[in-house]
Amino acid sequence: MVQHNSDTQSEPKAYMYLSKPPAQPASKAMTQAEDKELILKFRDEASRNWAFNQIVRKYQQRVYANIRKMVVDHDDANDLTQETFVKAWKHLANFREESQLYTWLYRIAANESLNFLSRKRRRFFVPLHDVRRELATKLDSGAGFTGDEIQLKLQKALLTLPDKQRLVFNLKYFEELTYEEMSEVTETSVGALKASYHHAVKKIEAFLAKSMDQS
Amino acid sequence: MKLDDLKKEKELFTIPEGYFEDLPMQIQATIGQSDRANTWAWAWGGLKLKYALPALSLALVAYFLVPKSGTNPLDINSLSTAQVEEYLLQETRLDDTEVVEYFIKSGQSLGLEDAGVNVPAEWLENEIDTEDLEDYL
Repeated sequence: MVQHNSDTQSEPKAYMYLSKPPAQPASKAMTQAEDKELILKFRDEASRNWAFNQIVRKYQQRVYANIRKMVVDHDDANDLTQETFVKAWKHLANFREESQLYTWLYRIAANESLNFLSRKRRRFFVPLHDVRRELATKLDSGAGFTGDEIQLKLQKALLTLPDKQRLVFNLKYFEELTYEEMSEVTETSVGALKASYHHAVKKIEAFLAKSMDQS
Repeated sequence: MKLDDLKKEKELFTIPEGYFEDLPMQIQATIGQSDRANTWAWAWGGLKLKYALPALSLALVAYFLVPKSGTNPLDINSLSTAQVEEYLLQETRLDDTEVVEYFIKSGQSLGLEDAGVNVPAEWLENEIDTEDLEDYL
C-alpha cells in the first residue's frame, strides 16, 4: 500500500500586511495565489505543459480520492480521474476564475462520477439498488478497502444514499469543504446543501445503529 | 451511534504502487491521443467535404450517362483512378484504415500537411502494418 501525505499544500510563508490581512487562513490564500499563477502560465503556450503538469501533481490525489469514494473500484476511478484532467486541459484556457481552481476541478470530477454511475444503470438496465449492491460487494471483497469494520459499515451506509447526497456528504465530511465551496462544486444553494447533509447524517446514524443491533 | 463518535479516516483505499508518480504522464499521453484524434477527425471531415461536390457531380453524370439496362454493365476496369478514389471516399462501409492505406500506398498525401499532420515517411515506402495504422488513427 502506498503511503500518501494528504496535505498537498506547502508550508505557509510569513507575510507583512500593509492593510488588513485577508479573511482566509494564510495557507488558503497561498493556494489561491499559486493557482492564479499556474493558470496564467497555462494560458502562455510556452509554459502550458509545465503549468498543467504542476496542476495535476497538486490536485491529483484529492481528485482521485473524491472519485474513488464514489465509484469504489480503482480502475474506474483511474479512468474518471484521467478524464477529469483531460477535460480540465481542454477548458482551462476559458476558465473564468469565478470559482477556485480546485472547486472547478472537483466539479468536473463530481460530474464525471455522477454521470458514470448513471450510465452504469442505464447501460445494463440495472435497478437502482443493484448498482449499489455491486459497489457494496466490491467493498466486502476487501479488494482495495483498508478501513476497519466500522468504516466499512459507514461506506455501506453511504451507498444507501442517492448519489448526489452521497457526494455532498463526502465533500463535507471527508474533504471538509465549506458549504460555500460545496455550492461551487455542486451548483446547489448553501441552504439545500445544509439540508441534504443534515438528512444524510441522520440516515447514516440510523443505518449504523441498526447495523450494530444486528451484529 | 453518532457520526461524531467515529474516528474520521480519510485514506480508505489501497492504491497501486507508484500510481501518482505515473499518473501525470498517463494524462499527458491521453491528451496527446485526444488531440491527434481530433486532428484526424478534422482532416477526414475536410477531405470528405473537399471531394463531396465533385463526387456528387460524378455520381449525377454517371447516373445519366451509364446505361440502365443490364445489357451494357459498367466495366470497372474502365474507371479512372480518380473515380475509384472518389468511390472510396463515399463508401461508408469501408474501414477508415482501408481508405487511408489505399491513399498512402498510391503516394498521395491526403492533404494532411494542411492539417499539420505528418504521415510517417516509412509508411510511404514500405508495407503498412494495419495494426500501426489503427493505433495511429
